[in-house]
Amino acid sequence: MDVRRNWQGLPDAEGRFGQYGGRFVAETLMPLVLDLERAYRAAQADPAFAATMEDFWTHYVGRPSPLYFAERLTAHFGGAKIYFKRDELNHTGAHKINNCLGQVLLAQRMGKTRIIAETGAGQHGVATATVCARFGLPCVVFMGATDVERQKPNVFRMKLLGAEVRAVTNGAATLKDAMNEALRDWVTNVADTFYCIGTAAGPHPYPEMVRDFQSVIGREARAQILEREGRLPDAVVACIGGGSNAIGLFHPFIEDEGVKLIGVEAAGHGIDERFEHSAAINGGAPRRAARQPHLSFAERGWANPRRPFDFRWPRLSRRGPRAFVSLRHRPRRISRGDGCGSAGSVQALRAA
Amino acid sequence: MTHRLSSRFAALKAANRAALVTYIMASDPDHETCLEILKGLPAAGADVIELGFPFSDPMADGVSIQLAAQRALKAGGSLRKTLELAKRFRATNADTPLILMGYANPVESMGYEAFAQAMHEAGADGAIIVDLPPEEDGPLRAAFAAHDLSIIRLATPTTDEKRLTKVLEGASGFLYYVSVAGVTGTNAATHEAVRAAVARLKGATDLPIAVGFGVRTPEAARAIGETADAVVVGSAFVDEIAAGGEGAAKRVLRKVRELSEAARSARAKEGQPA
Repeated sequence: MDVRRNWQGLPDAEGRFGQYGGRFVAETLMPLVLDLERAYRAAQADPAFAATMEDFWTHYVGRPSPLYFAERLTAHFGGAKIYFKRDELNHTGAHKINNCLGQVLLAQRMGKTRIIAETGAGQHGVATATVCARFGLPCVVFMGATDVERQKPNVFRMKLLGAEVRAVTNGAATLKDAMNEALRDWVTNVADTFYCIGTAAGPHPYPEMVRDFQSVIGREARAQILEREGRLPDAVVACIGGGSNAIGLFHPFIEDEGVKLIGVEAAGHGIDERFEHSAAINGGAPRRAARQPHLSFAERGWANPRRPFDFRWPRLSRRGPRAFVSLRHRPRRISRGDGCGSAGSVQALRAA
Repeated sequence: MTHRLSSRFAALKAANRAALVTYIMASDPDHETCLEILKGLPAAGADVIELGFPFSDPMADGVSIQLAAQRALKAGGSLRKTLELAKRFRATNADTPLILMGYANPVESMGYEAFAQAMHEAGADGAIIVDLPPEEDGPLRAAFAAHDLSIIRLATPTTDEKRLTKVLEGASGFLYYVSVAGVTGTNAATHEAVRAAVARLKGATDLPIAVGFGVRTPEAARAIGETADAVVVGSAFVDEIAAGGEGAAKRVLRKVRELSEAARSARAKEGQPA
């Protein structure tokens, strides 16, 4: 239980969450990343920033999102009472906008005039394009060519919102390659560009910002369940993907020791299969690489294209009193790293 | 700093000429061709050799080196293979400094101490780990110090005075100036900008200054060689390998000679023959 108690103080001054976190970026980006941290600290200390966020959340995003008692699903399973935190009812149809709003407001404070983003399934791209349209900022979204093909409606939405969608054909042409390409753009356009990262990944302070902006999900859910049930839940379940939805829901419950936090990952063809799953936390654990348990293939020079964030930018620790469940049979439609498939959540409940 | 790097730069300084630092990717297009190129580099005019180790996500590299990494991985390249190639090169050449260049994950996965030990055994002199800024390279620094290996740091157009102090803490071998904000092998900086940057860096450190990113032509190498201690060329060589076919090694070495002559002649017009 110590991990939980220490959790609220993280990240530390070096941007570390225990053995994870940090700033593993090229030197060209270091001054930008340090500048971003300073700007974020200033925004955190400014009540006007919080007030602006609050105002947009209420009147633009449509918060708070409902906490819905899923009566028939509860009856179907015949066990725990099941509630859904309905963040897909937000403007743009996902939780992604919580964070985009925060980061784009920050970009404005910093005087940045161009926003770039990466996207997998397209939800973060759509949310970023939407917020950029709201503030009149040009937006370029990097998306793997494979994902562009698979997610045409979201590509259409982004374009409709005025964003430029760049199909990335390098590497495996999926999310991690889109992120690499966004970084190459950022390193080339350092003066005017803000990189809006949608996942609990990236150099410090990105994971912290994503956690903070997404924690509105858990704060609301905690207050709502107390109001509805007069008690805290036995368990909180979230699908992981890239981690933003999970950390947003979990974070406000971390100090509630009686609440089990369950993260669910897609195991695809099995977590022992190289490159055939999305289970970054469950799936990458060679015994010999103790410090970075998920770097299974790194020494041979490969990053797993289906586990986009387990390299370069290690994310939140796997340690802690939490159960992580992997789904052996992944429905094909569960998105990877971006967005939160509802099919995954239902399976998560089954697994729990 | 290792003896090979310091004595090479001291000799170059005495001769008043700029060094040519050549980059190629290990195992590109295959192990044996790569070794053939490595062995030919010193005679072709490479003063310092940078040997890249492949990684699937080279986020600071342009298309040329991304593709080189993919070819190398396909050919069975890895950090261990890279060290093996370095060792085989060192068996044939005792003097030319050889440094490894790449990304943190393969190194982190191998372990910093094991990496330093393997570098030492292979006869490598130092490393540039692109995504390990000074804030993150503590473990590497400790491991390298134990084996007298150099950590080569990067300065960029975004590096201000304060940041430069941080970059120089623990830096050794030489300072690599990334002359453009961008990825490898694409845009080139103006000569004026490079000149000003080199002057600024020289005011802050006694380390030799090498300038790279976007240097592809003899003209550019000559211009940079006027002020910088070394010119780094990579993508131009890697592209010769990408062109494929039998003569890849010959073409690369011809290109190295061309650029080496340019770097060597950079200061000759000032009245001191190279």
